Order: sequence, then structure tokens, then C-alpha cells
Amino acid sequence: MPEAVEMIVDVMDAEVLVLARARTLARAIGESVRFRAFEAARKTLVADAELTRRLHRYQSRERELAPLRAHGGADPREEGALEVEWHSLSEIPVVRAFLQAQEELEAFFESVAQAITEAAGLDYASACVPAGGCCS
Amino acid sequence: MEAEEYISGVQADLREFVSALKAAPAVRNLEVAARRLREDPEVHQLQETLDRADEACRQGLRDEMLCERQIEALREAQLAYQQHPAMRDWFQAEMEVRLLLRSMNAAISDVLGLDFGETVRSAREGRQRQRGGAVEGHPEGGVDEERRRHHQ
Repeated sequence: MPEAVEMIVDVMDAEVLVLARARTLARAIGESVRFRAFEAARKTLVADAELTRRLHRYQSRERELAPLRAHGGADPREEGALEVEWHSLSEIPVVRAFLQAQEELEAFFESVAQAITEAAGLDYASACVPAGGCCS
Repeated sequence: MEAEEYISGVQADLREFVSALKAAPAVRNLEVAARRLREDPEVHQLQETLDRADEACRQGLRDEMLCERQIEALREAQLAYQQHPAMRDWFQAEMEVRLLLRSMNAAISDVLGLDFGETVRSAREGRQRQRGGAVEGHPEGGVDEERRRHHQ
């Protein structure tokens, strides 16, 4: 086999191995206590149709307010009402459990990503910005 | 909680994965390119010229006396820096690792059913993301950290 072709095969083999190990790692993450706790908390939350609707309403209002807020044009009463609604939502045990599980999952993911960053010599989360993103 | 505690359950798989990643030609090439960049005196000189031109423009802006000559000097310094062979090699190597990481992220995210990289970015961002944003399975948010102008 010509040397150049051998080199291409080596590169491909190495990448295939990386992707295979990435999938194995992902399966281990999927079976981890934190991931399962997050999935369970999310499932419980989504199972409550009324609560989900309320959260979506909240999110929708939050999205509408965001650009106004950025330009200082948000109605303070609307802001206050939204804050009250969030406070009320976050008091609900199902929501609280979900937020806690999410926070734990994020910390777990960050630890894994940090190990990848150190190995790759390139920041993992930044590198995953899709082409055409502001900084890619 | 310490990072080790978070990853204890996936430690063995993470170690195997990291070892495969470190051995990948793209990653090794980036390491070589980064070293060359750090050690090349010409690059350092171009970097200093660029920093000076950049500072001159900033000062010009602050004093409201920015002139065309300063802007042109900055453009030239940027171009010389970006077109240096060591810098071009680094950009190329960086792009290859970036592509590898994206493929890897797609593979991990497919298994998990959520975007792994996006979740990390969102968590790191530290901004008040849309509350309850992950109800539909994809934690929201994401912003790139400030991109390094020069690989350290």
C-alpha cells in the first residue's frame, strides 16, 4: 500500500476509534446515577401537563421580555409579575427537584468536558459551536 | 463537589476515550503546531507589532483622533500575523481538531438524546438562562467563551 494511502487509513482508523470510544463513554454517562436522576426528574415534570403548560407560558413571556430588557424597555410590572411567577414555580417540589437534577447533570458534564479539553488541546464546548456561529 | 467525584462512575471509559483522543493524528498535529507557534520568534514579533497597532487604534479612538494610517497599520499587522506559515498551520490543525470534536459531540449527543456540548456551554455561561429551559429535553443557552486570539 502506498505510504500516503497508509497514512490516510491510519488517520481514519484513529478517528473511528475515537468515535467508538466516545459512544462507549456516552453509554456510561447515560447509565450514570446523575443522568438517570435528571431523566427521572424531567419525566416527572413533563408528566404534569398543567405544570408543563405553566412553565411554557412562563418561558414564552420570558422570551418576549428578553429583547425589551436588553434595551431597558421592559415594563417593570411585567418583570415583577414574571419574577413572582418564577418564585412560585420554583417552590413546587417537582420543579425544584428538576432544577437540582439539572444542576448536578451540568456539573457532571462539565467535568467530563474538562477532561476532553485537556486531551484535545482545544476548548471542547467552544469547538462544538456549529459552523456559522458567531465565533466559529 | 470535586470533579473527580462527578466522573467517578465513568472514569474507566473516560480514560480510554481520552487516550484514543490524544493518539488521534489531528490532536497530535495541533500539539506540534501550538508548540511551533509558541517557540517561533517571528510569530512573537508579529504578535507584538499587532498588539502595538491595536493599542494605537484604541488610543486613537479614546482620543477621538483615530486616523486612516493607524487603521491601515492594524490591518497590515493582522494580515502578516494570520499569514505567517506557523499561524496558518495552527489554524489548519485547530480546524481539524474542531471537526473531530464536533463529530464526537454528535456521537455522544445521539446516545444521550441531548446536546452534550450545548449543555456544557449553557452551564458554563453562567447567565440566567431561560428558567426551566430543559423541560423539553434540551437544556437551553450557549455562548462561546471569548475566543483566544492567540493559542497560548
